[in-house]
Amino acid sequence: MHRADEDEYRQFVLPRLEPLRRMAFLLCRDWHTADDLVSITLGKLYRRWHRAREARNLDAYVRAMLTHAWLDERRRPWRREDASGAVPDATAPAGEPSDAAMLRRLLGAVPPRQRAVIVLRFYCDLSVAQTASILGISEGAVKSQSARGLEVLRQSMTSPLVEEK
Amino acid sequence: MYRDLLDSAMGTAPPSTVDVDEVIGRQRRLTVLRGWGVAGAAVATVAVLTVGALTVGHPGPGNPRLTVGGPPVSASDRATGSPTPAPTVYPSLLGPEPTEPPPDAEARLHLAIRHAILAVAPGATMRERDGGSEFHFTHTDTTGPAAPSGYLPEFGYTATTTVTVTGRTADLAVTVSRAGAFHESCGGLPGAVCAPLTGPRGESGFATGQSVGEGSQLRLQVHLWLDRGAVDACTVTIEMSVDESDGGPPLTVQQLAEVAEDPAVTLYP
Repeated sequence: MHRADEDEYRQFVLPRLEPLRRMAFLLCRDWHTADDLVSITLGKLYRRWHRAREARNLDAYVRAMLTHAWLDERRRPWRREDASGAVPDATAPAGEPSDAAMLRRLLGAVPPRQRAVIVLRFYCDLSVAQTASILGISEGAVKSQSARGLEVLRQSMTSPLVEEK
Repeated sequence: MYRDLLDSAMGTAPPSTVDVDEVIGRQRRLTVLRGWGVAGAAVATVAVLTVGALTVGHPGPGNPRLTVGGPPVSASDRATGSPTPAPTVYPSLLGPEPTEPPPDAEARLHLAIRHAILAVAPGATMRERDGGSEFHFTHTDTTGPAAPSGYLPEFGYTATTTVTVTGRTADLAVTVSRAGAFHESCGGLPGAVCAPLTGPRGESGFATGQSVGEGSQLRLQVHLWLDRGAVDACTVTIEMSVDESDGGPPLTVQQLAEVAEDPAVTLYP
């Protein structure tokens, strides 16, 4: 990549680092993994910069890359995450959990695909069509998965506080 | 509204470990490595052969199909370029769009992968981590009009399982994809030792071995990628993860390569 292209890449990436980290955290629920995912995404973006910069919506393109990087990582057997839609019924530990711990618990109750839909729709403010496009699923599937995911979140919010695994 | 709520719940993020300059530097180095092509990887073959747990079989009369490793690379070879032709980079997916319904494809691939593993390791047992069935399948399809503008399309199936051979156990993921979406290379996994794979029908790829983690969490990870674009427009990726305390991997790289090469492990039966 030429120096001018690298400068352009850097100018695009730097202001988006924190938003991407936060999006990655919502997907994977762990800041270390979130940083790994962002690094992987930035590496891929660098390699594809000549094509990527031509994308109509480069931000959506990068979010798609990040989402797929997470889904790809999850496919690896040692990274497979077994989310449960069921509300755990363990008792709460002593002390009040932080908002971040509660958020991790809530998101952990939502299966990964539904979590991706929720993050793209409600955190990244993408439309149903854009979310469907990124995940390669129908708009109907986006609607049903976001409804199911939100229902799981509501159930979890009204359940007793539980100790995170 | 949701965004503000989520941001508030997340709180302040810990300091970032993402270093854009490091990402750029790493990608520059990878570009140089790709310039060397597979020749650079052949140098690393020596290293992969020294990974004690990775017993790479040598192709013999009864097993001459796929070759793991390449010829030694001299300094002059490196100066004039790779002795192995550079892998093809496809502008788009090869082959026709598969018409097989996903449930049928998963059932067929289940039998094909099972048969391929048993062919190289008779007596192998396979089970999902949760004990449900032998394989867990994931179908990926980002082709067609649903794909975002500029996003590379991808189509394939991934079967994950836990395989056990003579008391040795590993997590295994076998992915069969339409060729052309991505091209992997030895340089794509920094820190891993790498051996190139070449086949008589034009297959090409590589296998890497890498230890990750530390202490009781130390795991050996093997990543094998085989481009069969010239044969049946597919690529096969196999990932094997072994707990270092489990006594070594249940399958050698040569055995994994033969699973990847099996003609029945395809999107086009």
